[in-house]
Amino acid sequence: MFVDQSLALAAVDDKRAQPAAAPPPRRRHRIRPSLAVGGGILIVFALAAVFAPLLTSWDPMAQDLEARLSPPAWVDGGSSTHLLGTDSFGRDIFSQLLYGARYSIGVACASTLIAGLVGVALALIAGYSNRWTSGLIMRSVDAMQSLPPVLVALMVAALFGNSVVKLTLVLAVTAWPTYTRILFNVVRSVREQDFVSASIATGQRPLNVVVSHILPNVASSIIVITTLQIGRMVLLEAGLSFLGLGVPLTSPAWGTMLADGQKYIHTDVYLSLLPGLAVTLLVVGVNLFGEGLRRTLNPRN
Amino acid sequence: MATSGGTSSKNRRGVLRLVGYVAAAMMVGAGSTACMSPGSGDAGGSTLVFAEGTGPSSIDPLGPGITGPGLRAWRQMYDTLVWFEDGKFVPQLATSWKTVDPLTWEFTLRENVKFHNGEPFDANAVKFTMDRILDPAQNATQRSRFGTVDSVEVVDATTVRIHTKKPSPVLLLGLTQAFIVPPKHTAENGGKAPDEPVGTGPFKFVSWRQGEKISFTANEDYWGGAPKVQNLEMRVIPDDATRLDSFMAGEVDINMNLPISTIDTVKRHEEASVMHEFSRAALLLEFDTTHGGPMADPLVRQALNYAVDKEALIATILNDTQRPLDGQVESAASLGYNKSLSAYPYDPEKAKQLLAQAGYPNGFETVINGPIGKYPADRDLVIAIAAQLEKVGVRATPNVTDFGSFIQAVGATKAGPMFLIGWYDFGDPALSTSWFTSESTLGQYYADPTYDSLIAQASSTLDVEKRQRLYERASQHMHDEAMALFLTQPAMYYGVSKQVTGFVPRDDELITLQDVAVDGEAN
Amino acid sequence: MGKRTDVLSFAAKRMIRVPVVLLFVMTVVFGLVHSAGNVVDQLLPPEATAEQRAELTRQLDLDKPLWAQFGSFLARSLQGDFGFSVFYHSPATSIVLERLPASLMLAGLSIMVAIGIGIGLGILSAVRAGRFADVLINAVAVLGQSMPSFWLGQMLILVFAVKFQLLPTSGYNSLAGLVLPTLTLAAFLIPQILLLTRTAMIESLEQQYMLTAQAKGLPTRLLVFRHGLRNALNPIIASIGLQLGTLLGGAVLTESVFGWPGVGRLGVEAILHRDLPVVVATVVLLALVVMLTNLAVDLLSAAIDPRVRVS
Repeated sequence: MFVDQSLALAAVDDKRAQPAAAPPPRRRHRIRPSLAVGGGILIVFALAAVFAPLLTSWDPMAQDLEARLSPPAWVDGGSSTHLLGTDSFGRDIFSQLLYGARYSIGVACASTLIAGLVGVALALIAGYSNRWTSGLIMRSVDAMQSLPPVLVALMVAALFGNSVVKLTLVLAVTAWPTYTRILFNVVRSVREQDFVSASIATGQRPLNVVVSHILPNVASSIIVITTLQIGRMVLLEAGLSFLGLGVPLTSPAWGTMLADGQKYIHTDVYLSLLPGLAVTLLVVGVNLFGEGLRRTLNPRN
Repeated sequence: MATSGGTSSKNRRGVLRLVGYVAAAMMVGAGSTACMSPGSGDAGGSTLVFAEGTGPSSIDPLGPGITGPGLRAWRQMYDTLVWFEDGKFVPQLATSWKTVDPLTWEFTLRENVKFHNGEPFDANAVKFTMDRILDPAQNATQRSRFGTVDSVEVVDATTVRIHTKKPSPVLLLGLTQAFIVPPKHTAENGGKAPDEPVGTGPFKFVSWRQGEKISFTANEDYWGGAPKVQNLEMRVIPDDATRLDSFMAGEVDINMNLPISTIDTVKRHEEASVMHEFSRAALLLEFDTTHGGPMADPLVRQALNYAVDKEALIATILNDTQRPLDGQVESAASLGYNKSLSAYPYDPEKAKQLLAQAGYPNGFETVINGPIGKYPADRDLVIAIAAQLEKVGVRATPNVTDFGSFIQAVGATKAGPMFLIGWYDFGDPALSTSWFTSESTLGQYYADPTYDSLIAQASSTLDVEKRQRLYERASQHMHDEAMALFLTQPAMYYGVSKQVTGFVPRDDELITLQDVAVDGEAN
Repeated sequence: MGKRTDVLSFAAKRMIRVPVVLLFVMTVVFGLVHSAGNVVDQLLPPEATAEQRAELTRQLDLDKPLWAQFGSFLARSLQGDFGFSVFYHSPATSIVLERLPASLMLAGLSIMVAIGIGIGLGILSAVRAGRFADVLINAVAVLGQSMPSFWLGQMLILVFAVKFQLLPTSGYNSLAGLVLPTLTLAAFLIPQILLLTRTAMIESLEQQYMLTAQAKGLPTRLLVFRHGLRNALNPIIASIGLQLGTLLGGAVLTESVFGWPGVGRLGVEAILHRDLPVVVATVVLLALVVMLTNLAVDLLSAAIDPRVRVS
């Protein structure tokens, strides 16, 4: 995943000496194409999710058994009443994609936010405290990262039941370690720098030190990690919904659409194709945007 | 970045180490593959590959947890005393039988039958098998069929008597599942089910990989004639889609339990055909009538029956692969089927009327529980039914979970207010109607004294006529009180390769494969 | 001399982490399992009698205080005993170990394919940096990391196995059956390796002394490759190390779609069947494999690059 690539590159960035001849930053005044394209995609999805009721008149969960499994309007047998066709219950696919975007984006953002808050807080605590506490925290990071996220999420969902809130929390649980792991080193190294000790010596309260010195330095890393984690959360949520333990059945979800579509893949391939494309496109947007962001904030690579 | 010659050779070593590590991992995997998968069909000759979604959970044919897959698998290598074919009991290892008196059954055994390891079959084997089944420590699934059996007596080498405590109308039925096991071979294995089992059946055991497949080879000396194929493989492919793909790609000859949405696809396939048979089973919503609330009121239950459009469900979600129940769980082939009953028609107006009458003019909130992947389109049915109920004001939330936790909840009486369940007639209503009585072992959802007494009477007599009338009255009662929401009678669909001949689906979903042949080369 | 003790002390420090982290993992798993309601109910079939419940409660020490239960859980697990699976009718540990080679094989093969294709494409896109081929390859890389693995698997099956009947769908026993699942898994590894290689190669192409070497007339291509690959080596190894863990446990979805009899799919099935012994065994053993793999990778990196040891 890009996240881990950033991890690797961050490790490389930190540890290698400056390259002998960095290329002159030629395109400083033009927006990177990855940012533009990625950002554009994200805006489209966000607008689609927000303005769903204006874009479609169908209730995404309204069933109409007689009209089930009709193909998209441009295919033989499709009609313009259901632009992208209907699923196995006669529910409008276009509406499900639009309203489902709310869950995909919403759950991914919320879980990343929670994970970020927890992860950054723990990184600060770990970076700031003695060996024992930081060791404890980092070992729990190791533990969480050695557990396969899908299985952990599945276990929790299976044991505690699934609702949107629980889903968000479960996803957050699998995501916070990445923050802590990456930021720990950065916090540590910033903390040891002279100007920080100087401010502590002059009596500034630790919280002030944190906010004014440490946070700005880790800010760019946090931003990059966050955008890429969101992509990962979208995929994880889709996977959980696909296995039936994600968004509950009473709400539209792309992963659920993919699970339904699998049964009809030989006859109505659009049921699988369209939601899969939706997920892919959204994550492409997130990843492009995140990659562009990373390059903007770290112009060396 | 400055590099020295020393580091570069280390790097080379590093790369080599990395590659070596990965290659080692691969070889471990490949090596264990080679060790672990015995070649199937190594005897050459034709091979029949049968696949379904679950397999037997243990190698013990007389152990706990034996359900359909176990019955299907072990049927190939074990025989029973009697078998059920074309609506009557036919001889297998017993050539004839009679009731000496209402509490004593006498069986005459087939002569010159041997187990696959040469051990002779005789009355001792029957007694050993029956004793084993009755032994509580063995925890045999079959034990519940023989609740009234008192003892088994060896009269001579070819004659056995079974003594029952009360008249048992289901003894013969129970015997169709009592796989005869070899006493000596079992004793040699310390009394536990051997890992290399032998039976008297048409196929001999070769190997078993739990959750993957069982391999058999033909028993050329079978008393009923050698099977038509040399090798038999029963594969377990839980994922419906994967199993279908395997079948479509020609790797599987008979695919049991075709997902409904794929039946048309298989029909269009040149090399395959679809076969089916309606099962003596029923799909229904069971109501929890014992914990108050709307479900305790027969008017509400009737309303719900009127609210569901079964024809629409069958035509769409079930793709016309099932048919509506006639207002009872029994189907025409079952004992106790009441010809005068018919299905509740789809009448949402009447449903609303009845709900208002019962005191719910604005409907109510409820939950429909159901499993995933256990019954054809179970999850989708629950979702669709919930939407139909909503149209009459009953705001139902579908709640589907894995079958394991679902059946746990059912057994613990926590699956109410209503849940989707598949009912199976087990060959005799004495075995299958218990669910709707207060004696049910699968949760306490009913406490209807009229129904209870009718069932109790019908299970304690051997008089078939009397039983038929009693069960008919029970069905009538169940219909009038709407004790369940009657949905459909399912059919079992098989994808069958065109090279296969002689396969006949049964309405009890069991299979016998000794008369099945595969033309063309081995798979 | 200094390097040897460096490596040894680094190795020692890293190895001590493993049991500590394992302890954490087991605490988490134990906590999850025991906070989710009655364990006994989940292990027994619904027809179980009160007697059987009491017996199992005794057997599993459920009547003892929580810390005592945890203690005996630890003790038993360290001996490799995770309980008995009713569903698979065998000790949980042996089922997991049985399925492990399948996952390892798939993971190993996917890594090799990903390294081959990733490095190849990385070099290609570096050499053609900024041109169409580069843009295309980068686009494909982004795509590879954005597709849901189960969807990709479904589409591949649809195209290759069903429509064109080129390859079998689920073939643990045949070489051909490996192709589709391997490709699906590799699709996620390739982009990273590709980009790391590309970055390192571009850098090496711009190095000052490369130009000097060119001026001197030395064969540049060889130098470019060797130098670039050397740069990429450590990040690639680190990246693979991180991915191995995800690969084994995260191949869950891929294994499910292809019916691959590996540990990931076993975990899902066990969770869906509420087969707690197998769930616990799968998660703990997987975590152990991941930790050992990461340890091996870290030691490898440390052996190659001295700066890693100083952290």
